[in-house]
Amino acid sequence: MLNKAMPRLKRLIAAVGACAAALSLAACGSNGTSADGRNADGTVTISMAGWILATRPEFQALATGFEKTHSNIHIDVKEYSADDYDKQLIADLSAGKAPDVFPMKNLKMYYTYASPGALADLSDAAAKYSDDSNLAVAKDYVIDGKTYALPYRVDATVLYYNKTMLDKAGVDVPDGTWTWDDYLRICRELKKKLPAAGYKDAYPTYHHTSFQAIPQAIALAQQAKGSGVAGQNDLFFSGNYDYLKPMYKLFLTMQHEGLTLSYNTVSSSKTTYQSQFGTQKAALLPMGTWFMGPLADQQASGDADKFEWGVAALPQLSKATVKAPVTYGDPTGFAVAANSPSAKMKAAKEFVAWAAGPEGAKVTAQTGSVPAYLSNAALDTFFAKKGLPSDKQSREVLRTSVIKQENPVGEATQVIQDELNMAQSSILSETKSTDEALAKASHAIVNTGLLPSQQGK
Amino acid sequence: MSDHQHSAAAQIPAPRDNSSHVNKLRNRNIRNGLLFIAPNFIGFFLLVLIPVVTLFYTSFTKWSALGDPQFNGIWNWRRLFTDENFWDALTNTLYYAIIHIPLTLALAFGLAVLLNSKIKGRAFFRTVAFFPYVTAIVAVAQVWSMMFDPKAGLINQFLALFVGADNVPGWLSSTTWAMPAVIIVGTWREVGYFMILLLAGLQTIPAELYEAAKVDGANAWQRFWNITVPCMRPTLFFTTVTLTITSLKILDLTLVMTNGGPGTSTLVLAQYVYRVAFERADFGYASTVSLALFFICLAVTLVQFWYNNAKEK
Amino acid sequence: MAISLSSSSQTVNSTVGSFDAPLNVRHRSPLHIVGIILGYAVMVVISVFVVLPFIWMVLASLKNNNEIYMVPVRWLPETWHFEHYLQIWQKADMLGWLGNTVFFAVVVTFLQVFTGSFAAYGFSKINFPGRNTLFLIYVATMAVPWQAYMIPQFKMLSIVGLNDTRWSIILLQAFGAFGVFMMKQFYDTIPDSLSEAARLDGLSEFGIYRRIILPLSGSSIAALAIITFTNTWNDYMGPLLYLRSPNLYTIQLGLKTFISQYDADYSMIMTGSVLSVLPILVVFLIGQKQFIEGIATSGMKN
Repeated sequence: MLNKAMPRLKRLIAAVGACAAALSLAACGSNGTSADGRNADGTVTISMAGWILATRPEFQALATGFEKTHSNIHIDVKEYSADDYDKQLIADLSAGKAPDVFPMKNLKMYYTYASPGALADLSDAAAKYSDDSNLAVAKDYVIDGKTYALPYRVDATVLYYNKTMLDKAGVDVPDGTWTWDDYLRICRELKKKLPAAGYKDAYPTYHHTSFQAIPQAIALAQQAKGSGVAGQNDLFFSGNYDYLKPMYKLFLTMQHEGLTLSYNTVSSSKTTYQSQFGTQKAALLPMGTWFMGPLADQQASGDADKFEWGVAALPQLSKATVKAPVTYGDPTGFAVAANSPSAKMKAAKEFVAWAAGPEGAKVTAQTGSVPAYLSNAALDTFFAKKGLPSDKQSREVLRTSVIKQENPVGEATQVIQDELNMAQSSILSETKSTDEALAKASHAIVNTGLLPSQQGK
Repeated sequence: MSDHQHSAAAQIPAPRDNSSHVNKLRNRNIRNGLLFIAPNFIGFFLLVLIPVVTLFYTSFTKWSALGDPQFNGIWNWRRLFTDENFWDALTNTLYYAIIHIPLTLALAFGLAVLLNSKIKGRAFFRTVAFFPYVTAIVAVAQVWSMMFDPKAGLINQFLALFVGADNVPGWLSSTTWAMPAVIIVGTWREVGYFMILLLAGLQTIPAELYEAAKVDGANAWQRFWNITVPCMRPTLFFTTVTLTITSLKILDLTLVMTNGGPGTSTLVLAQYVYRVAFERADFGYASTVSLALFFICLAVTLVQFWYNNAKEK
Repeated sequence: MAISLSSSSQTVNSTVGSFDAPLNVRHRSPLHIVGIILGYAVMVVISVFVVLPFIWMVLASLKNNNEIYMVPVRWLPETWHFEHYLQIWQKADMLGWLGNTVFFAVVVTFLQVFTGSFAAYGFSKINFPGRNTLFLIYVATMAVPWQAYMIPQFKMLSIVGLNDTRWSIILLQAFGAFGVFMMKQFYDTIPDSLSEAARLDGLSEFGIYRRIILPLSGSSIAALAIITFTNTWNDYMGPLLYLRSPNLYTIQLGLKTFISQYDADYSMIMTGSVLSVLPILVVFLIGQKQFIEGIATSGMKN
């Protein structure tokens, strides 16, 4: 029946096939590199993913800094989305089209990328820093004894305070020894005193509960035993999330008493922490150190009000840990594509190791980010930026704090995170009791069968 | 199916006993049919059909989108049946669809009929009706969140006049009222879109049919049921199927307005697929959930096809 | 036509039966006129309600940043920042994004309308074995959420080197089932007697499509074009996944990148959003002119 139609159809298919082939040739034929990825003149060009290139110099500065001392390597920075970076990277890696070097933006995705062999093994480069206490966060990237990424910056959650507001209200500024009870007491005091000090519609503090890490990662970091990852793993992968209850009790109390904007207002008005703290609608703010640079910039540009501020250690569960306050924060690291040609891979590894070390730290600090390599010299460079607080406490909090992971890394990490995120929405919107919501999450997580105890690991 | 009734082969007065003639016609139809369909079908086959078919395999695998999918039998499908989130999402999706579909269809059809008439300023009103569909979804979510604000919102201030300030719904912060709020916004947003489709269909109804009916003394209601509705059947069928599928696949609205919350009260299936795929990097299970959604859509669509064919006969 | 008004708003039930604008235009009683005025009043009120978010978007684009998400809400800006509409052209590559998006939207719309209406003719007017099954397969694919198969699709297009090229966006959008389904249903409303008569007159299938069906489908082509254009214009996920080179960015991808560059500069995103809607409105206004009452089927139909 098809005898007449078939020849034409065949011709058509052949034509389409030829078109596709021609297109693919045109797309990849022209760059003139050798099999190992070397350019004709012997230099190597590697590509690197970054985001917000136009206004945040972080990636370009690292590339330029590295090129200065490595004249035979050129780094070509490519723009990726800041918000949907992981979607783009999943697509790239799955099709084998990823750049040679790319950041691990969120630690929780790290396991997903590392486990199927998409990332090159960087264990030899990591060995260089194994005894260097300045680069303590590198251990976050170890999976079964191997390292697939090295950190170049780190963020820790600290307590921001508006010194001007606290002074006017006559309330003590945080001295780094607060427990959560102290924090609650001070907030209640502020609630009484702020209106008289001229801040009529201001709240004592602001909990940015759109981030599930506030309070979940705080609870995990502070409830876990010991300073290592093991204690966090035990809690997080246990399938039992009762350890979150005390923090939720505190947060619910505080939103009932009007000490912070309620979760419902935060999620429906899409309020930003930048505007709450920057326009003096809140006197305190538990937030990551990444906000320090931008806050200084916004004060300079006029987007934020002018006031004096500082950062202190995050409040603790008990006085026992105030000397070495426990907080959470994730490193941001660089990984290398496993399928890069040999010369490119060598250059890429060199860059990643450089960025993690003291030279990379200097460049990172100059751009207003906290470097992963937390030496004294790097901190000096970081705080030299205009508009950052100059008091000793603000400077030392990063070095004295014990920075734990936001999420332990494992196969079940993302499922646990997502379930607990839904639980957070139920609890803080007060549509379910804390017990009920956490029990539901726990049930769903166990049901996936992904917990280490279920996999016989 | 019903197409055979209208088909050329059945109606062209060809000599029935001449089988070679019938064969010739049949071959000609196959050739012509394929030629007309080919330009679209080749693209469709390569770019849509093949990726879709791969889902049937990945739904039986464990796959993080990186590396090769690992076959894990019916594990994903078994998991589906005990997955509370899936059942919550399914219930929510059906809730949304059952209210949203008739509401949108009735409003869009009404609006289309109205704006197909010779009223003054119809171009203006058509444009206005299409506005919600083109307004940036961030702005849509923001303004509606403001209107739904339990205390300061326009809607509750209005409702308070009738039921008292203590009895107004909590809308987006309540598990009971979040979904109705989403349905209201969804309907508001899509009426203009479906109005355009229906308007185009109305255009194909010859005006003289109405004139003739008027001469016969039919009133507006009779003309609507006896001319507009039957002439619009193919378009209405298309609109209903499309509306059904888009309702069952609703995603961006809940993503921006409620992100599925509070809890899972507005979590819909497509959003669950999205979450499982990109938040959990579990593309194997995401394929399973999306196939479940696919089979539901397909079942409903087949019923609609069947009903449509029965009506046409 | 009265029914339509009552279903679009519950409050105008009183006008049922009196609002018969399309036909009976000559003999108007006073009651009719009151009804018409009432009808218009209701429509204007509904219109304001319908465009409220758009108005908010315009006002937000004229506010300073921290004013937008203020609690409690304020509608009017304290000072009007009209300069945002100048700044956005300097701060962002709006012109480039607009150019790319216009290119994508026009090419995709053309391909979708052309191949869609072509295939629809095959499905509607030519009877060949298996066409119903094939058609059902088309429609069935509409029921699969794209998020589920976008990775396999991306891998396929990447293998032939089409990721990060203009081709990717065009191919991605141009061959959906929607256009085929829509045009097929519209062609079904055109009586088969027309095409059969032409066939007997010896016109080729292409001739029938070209000279009889196509001239009758102005309004449905306009509707498909408006909808395809709008969807391509507003698509974010497609460009996000496929495009990496800034010189290929579309307006939605560009605007999203732009917001993160200026740390949640919401007034600028609203400015960009307002500007990005304008071209769609132009297309809409041109397209809707095709919707003229009572198209010229007269005389062809029996």
